[in-house]
This record gives sequence, C-alpha cells and structure tokens, in this order.
Amino acid sequence: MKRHKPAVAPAPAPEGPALFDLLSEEIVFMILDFLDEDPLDRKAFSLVCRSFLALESRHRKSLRPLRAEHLPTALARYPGAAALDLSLCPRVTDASLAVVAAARGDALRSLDLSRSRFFTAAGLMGLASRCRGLLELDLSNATEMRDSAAAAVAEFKNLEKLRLARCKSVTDIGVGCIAVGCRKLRLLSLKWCLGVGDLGVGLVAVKCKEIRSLDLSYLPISNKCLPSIMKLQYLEELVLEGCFGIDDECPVILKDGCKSLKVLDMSSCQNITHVGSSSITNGAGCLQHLTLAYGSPVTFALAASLKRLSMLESLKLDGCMVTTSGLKAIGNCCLSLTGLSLSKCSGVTDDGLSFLVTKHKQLKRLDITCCRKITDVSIAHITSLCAGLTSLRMESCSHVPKEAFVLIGQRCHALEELDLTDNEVDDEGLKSIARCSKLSILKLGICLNITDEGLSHIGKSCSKLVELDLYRSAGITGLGIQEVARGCPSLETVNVSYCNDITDASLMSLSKCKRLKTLEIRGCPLITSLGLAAIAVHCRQLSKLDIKKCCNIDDAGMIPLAHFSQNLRQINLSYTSVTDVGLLSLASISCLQSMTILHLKGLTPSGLAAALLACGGLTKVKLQASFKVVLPQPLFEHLEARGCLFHWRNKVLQAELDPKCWKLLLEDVMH
Amino acid sequence: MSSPPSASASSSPPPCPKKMITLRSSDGATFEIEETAALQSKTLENMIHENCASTLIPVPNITGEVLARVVEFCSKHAEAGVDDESLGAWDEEFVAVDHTTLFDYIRAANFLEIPTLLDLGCQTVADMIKGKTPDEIKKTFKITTACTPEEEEEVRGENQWAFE
Repeated sequence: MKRHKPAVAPAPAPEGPALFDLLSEEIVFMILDFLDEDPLDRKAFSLVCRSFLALESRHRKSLRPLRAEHLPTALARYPGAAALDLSLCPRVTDASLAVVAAARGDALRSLDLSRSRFFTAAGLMGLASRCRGLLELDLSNATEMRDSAAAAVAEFKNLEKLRLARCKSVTDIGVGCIAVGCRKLRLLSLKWCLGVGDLGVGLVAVKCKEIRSLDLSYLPISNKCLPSIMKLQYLEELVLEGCFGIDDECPVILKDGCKSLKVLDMSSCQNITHVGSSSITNGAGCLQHLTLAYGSPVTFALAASLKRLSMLESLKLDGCMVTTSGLKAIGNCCLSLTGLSLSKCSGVTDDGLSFLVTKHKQLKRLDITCCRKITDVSIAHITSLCAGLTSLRMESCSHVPKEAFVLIGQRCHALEELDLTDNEVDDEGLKSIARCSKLSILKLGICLNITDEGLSHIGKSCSKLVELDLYRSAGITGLGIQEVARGCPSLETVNVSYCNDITDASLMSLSKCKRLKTLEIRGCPLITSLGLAAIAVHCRQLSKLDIKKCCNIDDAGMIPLAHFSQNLRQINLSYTSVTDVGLLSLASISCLQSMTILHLKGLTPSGLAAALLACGGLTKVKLQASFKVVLPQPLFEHLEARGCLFHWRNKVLQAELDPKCWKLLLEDVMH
Repeated sequence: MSSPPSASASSSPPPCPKKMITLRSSDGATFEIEETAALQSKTLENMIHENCASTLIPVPNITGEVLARVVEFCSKHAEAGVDDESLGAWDEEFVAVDHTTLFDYIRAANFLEIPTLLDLGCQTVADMIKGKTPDEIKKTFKITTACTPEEEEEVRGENQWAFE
C-alpha cells in the first residue's frame, strides 16, 4: 500500500498511543535505557498515561527507595527491580527486610545496606532463607554487627560479592562461617574488620577458591596468611593497605607466586621494604597495577625488583621518599608503564624525572603533585616527549615558572585531565592550554595570576569541560564565568568559592549548563537569591550545593530550590541569611540527606526543630553545639532513631583573610 | 542502475566489482545495496554468510520509502574515510524527520537488526523526552489517553517520595 502524497493541508498525525503502540516493548525499553541521566525523566514518562506507567514499571531493574516506609509500594510497582539500593534509607529494620524478602524472594540479585542501621542477625537470616538468588550484598559500616549476623550472611549460598568494610565486631569465627557457607564468592572486602586475623583470612583462602578480588586493608594479619592467599588460582586483585603485620620476613615459599594477580596495593605497609614487596610480587608476571604509596623509600634496589613485571601499566608511589637513582632505575625498566604517580614524593628532582620521562614516552597519566623541586626543565621534557599524555596533575609545583605552562598547551593535545592548583600559571598559559580541546577536568584553584581573559580562552575552545575548579582564584570575576558557561555546556562540577566578584549574572549564565550536579560558591557576597533561583529552575540535576558565607542569600532563594531541585542531596547554608522559613521549605526535597547549618542568625530553636522533623531523609546534620542545650533531648533521640547523625561544632565566626595572606600562612606551616 | 551482481567477487583485475544485494520492500520496490553496507544489518549479514543473498531478499515489513532511507543510512555508515564529526552531523540531519517516519526507521532498524540506526533512533526519541514534564511529553507525541486525576495524584506522590 503506497503512502499517499501530503495534501495541501497537512493530514493530522495518527492519534494517541497509536504512535508509541507501533513500537514493541523491547524497543521502548531501549528508549528508556537512554533516559538514565536524570531520575526525573523516567518519572515524567511514567506520568504521561497508563500504558507508559505500565511500561516504566516493567522496565526498571534497580530501585533506590527514599524511605524504608515506602518499600512495600515501591516494590509492588516495580516487579522487575532485582537490585535494591537502600543507601538512602538510614533506618532499615528487620521488618523492612522481611518486606523485601516477601516481595522479591529468589529474584533479588543485589542489596546495598551500607548506610543503613537497625537491622539484626534475625532479619538477615529471614532474608537469606527466602532470597536464595542474592549475588551481591553490601553490609559495610555495620559496626555493631557480630558473628551471629555473619553466620546469617553465610546462608546466602550463591553470594558472589560481599562487602563488610568497617564491620569491626566481626571476628575470625564469623568470617570462617562465611568462608564455609559462601563458596562462590568472587569479591570480598574485609577492610578495617579489626577483629579478623590470620585464621579468618586463611579460611577464606582455603574455602573460597573462586575469589577474584580480596581487600584485607588494615587487618591485623601477618606473613602467615600470605602463602594460602597466593595459592588462589584466580586472584586478580589484592589490597593489603595498612597491613602493619606483614614485613620483610615473608617466607620464600612465595616463589610460586600468584600468576593471575593483576592489581596489588600495598600502601602504608610500614614494615615492608623492597625485600618484602619483591617476595610478594615474585611470580606475579601479569601484574598490571602496583601501589606502594606511603611505604619505604624508592631506591635503586626497589626499582630493580620491578624489572620482572613486564606488563606493569601503572605504578603509584605517593608519599614515598624517592632517590634520583631510584627514579632513573625505574626509567630503565617497566617500559610498558602508562601511568605513574609521584604525588607528594620528596626527593623528585629534574634530573631523575627528566631521565625517566625520556625513557617512558608512552606515559599517559602522570601525577607530580607537590613535587616542589621540579622546575621548567622537567615540564619541558614531559611536554615534548609525552605527546600522548591524557592526565597531568601538578598541584603545588611551586618552582615551575609561569612561562612553562605555555608548553603544556603547545604539545599535549590529548590531555583530558589537568590539575594546576596552586601554581604560577597566568593568562598566557591558559591561552595556550585552551588548545587542549579534549579537556574534561581542569583545576585552577589558588591560581592567583589568572584573570577572566585567560578563562575566556578556555570557554571558547574547551567545549568538553565537565569539571572546573577555581577555588580562591580571586582574579576571576563574573565575566570569566559567563564565557565558560557559554562555551562549556557539559559542565557538571563547578567550584568558584571565594571568587568574590561573582555575581547573579554569572549564575544565570551557569544555569545554561543543564548537567550541573555540584556547585560550590562559598564566600561570594554579591550573589543573591535571584542568582540561586536561576540555578534551581534550570539545573534540575543539582545534587550538591555549597553557599556558605553567601550572606545575601535568604529565604527567597530556598523556595525555588524546594520546588525545583528534587535531586538535591547535600547543602551547606552556614553564615547565610536563611531563617526558619527557608530551612523548613527544604523539607519538600525528598532526597535531602546532609545539611550544614552553622551560624544562621535567623534560626530559632523551634524553627530548627520543625525543620529537622520535617526533613525525613536526613542522615547528617552539622550545627552549633549551642542548640544541643536549648532543644529537648527526646527530639535528638527521635531523630537519631530515624537514622540521623548530629555533628556538633563550636566554631567561632571567622573573618575572611585575603587570598595572598592565606597562602603565605600555609607556606609557613609547610616549611 | 541495475548492474547484475558479480558471479565471483574474487576476480583479480582492479578495481574489484562491488558485490550488490537487492532488497524488495513491502510495496514491491527494489533497492540495491553494496554488500559492505548490507553488513551493517545483522539479519542481512547472516543471510550473506549463508549464501542466501544472491537472489532478491524480500523485506515484507518495510515500505519502499523507508527502505530507501535505510539503505542510504547503511551506505553512508559503510563509507570509508568519513570523520566522526561529519558523520554525526549527517546522522542528526537523517533523524530530523516527523515522528511517524522516525518510528518507522526504528522499527526497520529493529527488524533488520542494525544497531547503529536503532541506537540513533532510540537516542533521538529519548532526547525528545528528556527534561520535559508529563504534559509536555503528551503534547510532543500527541497522546490523548491519560490516567484519572486520582491515579495521577497517587503516582505523582509515589514518584516524589517513594524512590529516587
């Protein structure tokens, strides 16, 4: 049947769902997959008509409820949601777990309880008996959880990923139960489980043969558990951060090594030198990522032990003392290295770094934060030899003169991340850096020589910018921000704190950046509620807002936030002119979790009480200790039972220091 | 326009004659497409590998008008030496059509299993939904049936308070 030619007056398009009915459910699901950025989009879709509501209900695979009380309705509406993230529900009781178990049963695949309290071993047991299909469970931060609860966890026989970070009351016995019960475990995190030692870890190594990733950070384990860990056939990732009990006396039995190991982290292992780390990496010929941060000095001997790691891609030596011979030795080996971090390493000199870079032209990521001996000599080498550099972090390289920054823009056009915080870079440098059109993260905090002129070059050329940090770069005014807002529509994170010439007009320009999620505008006295309103109305994905010391923002700025910013999680209102009314209006933001409200002159005890009670999702509130005494104790008990934690502060009102004075103070402290 | 498909693609003298496949739409129109372009479609790729592609391939669900454009899309995406930016601009123009045609493209892409066109179509529809209120979405796609006010109120409340 041939399509008819369009008549003079356009024929009316097919009515109603006829259009969407043409698409199969599978195709509509594909369209819904593309609506993953802003949760509000899928919600709007569901409200259009009954069939859309049904489609969206069948499509959703994961659910993040805002309050445990809403679990029954949410679970009923979304029969297909197999991944349940309860991190926004501070209070999850055994009854809530029972509701989940009844609603989902064996179909439940993943459960996140890492921010929730008040459930017990009994609740977990009930869950385990009904949800036999559970693959992933996060019980991190359950500091009160004891071995009885661990025994309940052992009943999840099909568990593949288990996180128990900071469960400090669990002992070897509990972990032993888990090892015996959860034979299919592939990922286990026991970070900070201070009650677990060699016995528990040994049992895991013997019973959980499928383990791919093991995090044993800060455990009081010793060398004794290492041989059995190394025998794990499929182990790919091992984290031994802060394991003080492991030292150079590691048995030489480790000569069999761990052939499958790809990632090894031994940061902060104070008692291991190159001797110990050499034994551990023995046989780990496939190692790709090695972290030896905050460890023993990086000497020639250490570098030599890295020679046999022919597939090493990244090496992190943060905080270690480095010798020039050590750096040169690294230069002579690990020729597959693409990422190197020397952040906060003392002893990094032009001599060592230049040599290393000459041998490693394929470097993609380089971190030389706080390498204060580096001068333009190193920068010249880096920029001319490593043309493929995608990430360069050089915060506080105070001896690099401003002329050197021009070199970065001249040659390193593949750069995506550039951190120049606290450096001498000026507008000429920025003009050159603007040529790096792939930049997505640019940090220019405490750069006192840059002005709007330099920033406007960035705005004109770096259209892919996602994160911009101008913290305390006081030479920037509203004009610079307007240029950036115009040219960088993909911005998600912006920090212009203490750039005191920022105005409402700048915020109105920034509101064009629809993806804005984090905005920090501390200490900008020219900003009023008008500017904030523009952001609230247009930037619907706003999740984190810091307007501390914006003294001209008042209740009028809170109303638009309350109405439009339905994704707001975290807010800092300290020292603003917001009063009881404004604070209370924020209660309509259902996912608001964290509030910092120090020194609000217009806040009264009863107003505070009303707001705290109304904001049902609060998990963290920072406020003045003086309120603790004027409000009834039962109020705080009630709020804490609801899952809210209070952080009391005694800070005295501080006058602002001028930027240069602040910087000099910091230098005095460092030297 | 209708060159006979070459018997064997392995003849030695340059240039190699391009192997053509013929498709027939639901309304009887035929279209030729290079084999390399046809490989964009998983359905056609399977047929080619199973050597069913030497004769005419009927595509019963797709009209001539739509099939012509799909062939155009596949040919453009099989072209060598086109940079990402200009291809992106071409794609944008390709989907700047009325909703009915766009949905036809999507269904054709689904039937012929052309992932690039399917993703492009679905992303375009998703972009039409992003940032809009339910009423705006209703207007955009001319949807007339709706929930009752009570149902809408209930869902709205759930959407705001029950989950993220």
